[in-house]
Amino acid sequence: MTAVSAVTAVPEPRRWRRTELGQVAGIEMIAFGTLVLLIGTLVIADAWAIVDARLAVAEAAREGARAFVQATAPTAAETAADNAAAAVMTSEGRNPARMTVTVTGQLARCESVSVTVSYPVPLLRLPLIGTAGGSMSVRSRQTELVDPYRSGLPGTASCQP
Amino acid sequence: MTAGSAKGRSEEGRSEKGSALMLMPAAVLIVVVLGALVVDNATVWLGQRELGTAAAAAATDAASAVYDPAFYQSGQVVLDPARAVTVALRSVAAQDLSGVQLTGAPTVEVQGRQVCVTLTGVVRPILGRAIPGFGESRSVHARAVATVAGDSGSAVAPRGLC
Repeated sequence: MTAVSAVTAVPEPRRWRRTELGQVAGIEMIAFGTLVLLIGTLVIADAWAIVDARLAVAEAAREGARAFVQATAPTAAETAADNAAAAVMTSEGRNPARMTVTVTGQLARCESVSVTVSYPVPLLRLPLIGTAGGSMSVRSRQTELVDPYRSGLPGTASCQP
Repeated sequence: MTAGSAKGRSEEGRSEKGSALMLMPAAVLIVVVLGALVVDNATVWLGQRELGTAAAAAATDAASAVYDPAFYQSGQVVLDPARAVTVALRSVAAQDLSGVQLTGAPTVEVQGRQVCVTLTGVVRPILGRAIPGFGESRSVHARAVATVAGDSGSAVAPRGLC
């Protein structure tokens, strides 16, 4: 009995000393590393979300402007631009209902038409919680000229230089 | 306090136990920096695409500057160089180039019924500015050609101008 208690009593100070190794550089470094990982990941994820959304809206604006200037009738031009932009956003995995399409200009020969597509990007998206921290609107504008020599439009091709 | 115990303590001081904890923040920093580089490279790619889109739109718009007298008198399809350059420059100015900054004036070349627009710009990194050595602006170039359709007119090889 005495021998057994002697065996169990001796190693304790050694184990205590062993577990302190790396403590000074360890505990706070774990917290610091976790903080850096968390903040860094959020910053990079936000930046990537904005870049990705910008790619999508740039594509949508380009397709929208192209569809507008190639529309068969002035009354159908805006719908064509909307549909083309929505199709791009859908193909990019975005919700077209959240997109805003603004068209300036009209479908007439030589007319300069601008299509602006805006899309809100949540600044923080967490699993199970959803979006938090507000959102940022990503916007892109594409300008195109209506072909003065195209068919289907009234008037003559007389663009002012 | 014997020589043996002093030696043991000295070995404990040199021990590598716990060094993995020091490596963790370093590894995390490396991952974050690599992520930042990925985002910045994507930004440069986005800027290049924007510049390419602007050049394509400008070339397409400039291709509408057909020289009317030649077309209506002889059916020849040629571009009016002065008007094509004006239209192209106006088109570039109307584009929304928020991700890229143009450096220098756009170059517009017109030959026959073909027009070539060349743009050069710089893209500034978003996250790389915080990392020493990665904050430099990247130069991007874009070039687009548009050829007016038509059977009659000066023959230009496809993309022969640029």
